[in-house]
Amino acid sequence: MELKVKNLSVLSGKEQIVKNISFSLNENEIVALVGPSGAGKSTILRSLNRLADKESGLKVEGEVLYDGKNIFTSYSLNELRRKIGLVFQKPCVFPGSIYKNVLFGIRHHKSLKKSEADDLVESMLKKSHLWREVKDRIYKSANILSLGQKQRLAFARTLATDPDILLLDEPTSSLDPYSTHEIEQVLLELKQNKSILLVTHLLQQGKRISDRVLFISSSNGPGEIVEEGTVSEIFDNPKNNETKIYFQNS
Amino acid sequence: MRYYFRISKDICFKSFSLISALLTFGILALGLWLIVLKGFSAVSFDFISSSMSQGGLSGGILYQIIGTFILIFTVLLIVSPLSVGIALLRSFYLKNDKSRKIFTTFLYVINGIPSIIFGIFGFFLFVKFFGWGKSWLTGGILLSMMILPTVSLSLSEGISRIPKDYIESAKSLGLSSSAVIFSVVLPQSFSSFISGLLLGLARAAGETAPLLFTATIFSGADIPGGIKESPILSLPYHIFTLAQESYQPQALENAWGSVFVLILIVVFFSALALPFRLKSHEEANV
Amino acid sequence: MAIYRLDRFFKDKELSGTMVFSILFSAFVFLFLAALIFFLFIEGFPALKREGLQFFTEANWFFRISEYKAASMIYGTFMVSLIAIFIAAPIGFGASVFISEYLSGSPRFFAKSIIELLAGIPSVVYGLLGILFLQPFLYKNFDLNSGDTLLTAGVLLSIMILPTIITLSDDAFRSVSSEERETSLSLGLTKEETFFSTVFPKALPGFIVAILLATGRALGETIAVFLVVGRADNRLPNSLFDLDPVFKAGQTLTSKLGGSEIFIAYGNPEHWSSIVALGLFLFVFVMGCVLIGDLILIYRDKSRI
Repeated sequence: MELKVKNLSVLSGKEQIVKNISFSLNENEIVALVGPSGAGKSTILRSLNRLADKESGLKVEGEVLYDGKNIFTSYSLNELRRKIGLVFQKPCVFPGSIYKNVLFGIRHHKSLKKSEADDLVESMLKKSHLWREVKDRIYKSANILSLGQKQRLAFARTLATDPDILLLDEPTSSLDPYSTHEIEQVLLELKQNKSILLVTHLLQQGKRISDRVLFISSSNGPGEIVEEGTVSEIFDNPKNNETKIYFQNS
Repeated sequence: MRYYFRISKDICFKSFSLISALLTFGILALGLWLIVLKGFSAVSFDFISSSMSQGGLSGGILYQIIGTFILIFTVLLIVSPLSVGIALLRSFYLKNDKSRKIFTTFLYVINGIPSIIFGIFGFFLFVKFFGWGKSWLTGGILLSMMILPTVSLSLSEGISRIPKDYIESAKSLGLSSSAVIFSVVLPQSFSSFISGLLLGLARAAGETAPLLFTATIFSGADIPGGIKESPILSLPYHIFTLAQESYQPQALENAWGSVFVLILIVVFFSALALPFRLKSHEEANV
Repeated sequence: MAIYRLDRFFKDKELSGTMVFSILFSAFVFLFLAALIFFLFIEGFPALKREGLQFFTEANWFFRISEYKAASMIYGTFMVSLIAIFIAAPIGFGASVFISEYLSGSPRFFAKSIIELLAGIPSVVYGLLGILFLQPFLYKNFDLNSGDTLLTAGVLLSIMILPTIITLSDDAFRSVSSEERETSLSLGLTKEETFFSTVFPKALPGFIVAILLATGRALGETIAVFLVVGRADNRLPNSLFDLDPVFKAGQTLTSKLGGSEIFIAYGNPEHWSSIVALGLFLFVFVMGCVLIGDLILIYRDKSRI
């Protein structure tokens, strides 16, 4: 499914956080959203999942089309959030077992038989490359997992609701190289049938896994997309001066 | 189908909480409105500047106001040093979590004691055993003990919120621990102390039960000259007595006037605490 | 030697002047508390010994003929608090959910300040409002013989403990991080599902403590109850499900203690001891609530690593 963002602006009171953001995210594609911190990358993700306007009290203007229909008007909130999943930077694990955590979202969306639930948990944990490590203790508390495992659990939890589009907010920034690698593998596999928008400040990560890169900057006030292109275009041959400086120095 | 069920559950939940909130604020606003409505018309300059006559049916409440302030002032003098000592012990001197927890429980216990029990204990110890009779000082001591946990815990929280760096850098300069307390710890937690103190004083100003047998009488007292047999008048006790005679319109009128003045005092102290609370919140977020 | 042993409890090795004052002041307050508890037990115990179990099971308090059986006051205290909690718990729950989950920023701060202001309104003021408005209202609408009943006291108390419940449960709900809420919302759960699957399970201990402390407050509230409860001794229900006494004048432990009977009782050891025993009971009930609440919090903090 395709996501088209047209002229998205987000305001906090009268102050603009990002303005005139336009891009599209195609099927089976990983797009990396790159830029300095404070440029509004997370705000963009949070407005696509409608946390920005509904929970943070920000004002979101512009149009976002998912499957050709505006997400702000044509979808029910819960259905939309189910279809456009969001994984946060810091994994948040709920009290209770690993098993319960995987089913946390989906069991509100549909009723599952015990056997269906078991199958789902197993396949989701496999998809997020966690199964091998936790298969003997899925009924134990999720709190004892390592940070990297928790983040993969968060992936499993979001995948269980069967989203078409995944929004990822620096999902590996607090993880060790091994977990980062695991998660990147997960993303490449997920690409087969989902679209992924990845916020990252790790350029190498963008290089390794993304198809296209958006560079966002807030040096002239609110965050704007200043350059867009394929990985090779933007990394090897940046046109915008700011992009150049950013890439050279990191 | 499932979707509509979920949404209607959500709407029910929101409506329930909204209705509860409206009900709460409605009842409380109604109460305040009644107090202002009935009280404002009963208050005049004469009312607050003359003394009572005819058993509260006429005259004013000058000595009740003075008595209430005598109590507040006594409490202020007793509570300030005690709460500083207690808060320092809890947040600064005690070494481990366990002893701190036990100490905190001890404060919770005092905080939980019903006010009337302070009353009968004070009656036994001060009025009878020490032979003071009814005395303003007993009232002050009992009220101080009642609000002590509030003030101490507020100050103590403030002390705990001071960043460790502050204290360590002061110590690294070679200050003794007393000097650290007076130059860093207490100044840095001052707003927490004042906000706790003012909230405590507001509570003390409105208490009736611990004073019933120990400090207040309804009429026949003015400014106390000593400690023994020196009762005072107070606003809450005045209201309490008039309330029991509220079938008489004049008694009721004067009760409303007294309520209005008492509420003003309480609100004044609570409102005064507000900027200090905001400040201590800011300090916490440094 | 003494200093060496103090060392195990205090951070500072040397005893400074400030520390000595700090310890002395705390010791003074501790002594006060110890004296109070000692007083309740020593002075109240003879009555319990003399009256035995009948002190709790019989409603027969006539001090002129030396009868001191306190079941009706204990019953009154329990019924009044039960009514108060029964009304205030759901409303307080709803209101605190509204404040913590649906308000944010300055409206939230404003609402909380108002609630805290109302917690500070003196109980004698609630009492006067109760006499003038609640009592006639219940008298008319519930077809009562008099407006001064246990029910009136219970309803008035429910209003008085609302701010306590709301403030404490709001704190409990707010202690659950907004990340957890947002994670749950981002999975497509509704606010209600988010509340019951993430916020409430985590905040449950805090909510229970809020109810317990409010119960403690209701049990111990004196002045407002005194003014509207009717202060009639010796009424008990005929059976467990007989609610009749609730709609009639009654007596609670606090309203009994708040009356002028104290002055009469002091000269007479039997009578005095019985009065203090009422206080002892009240103390034990209230401390039960406070200490159980404290234990719940300690246990919660321990298990949440």
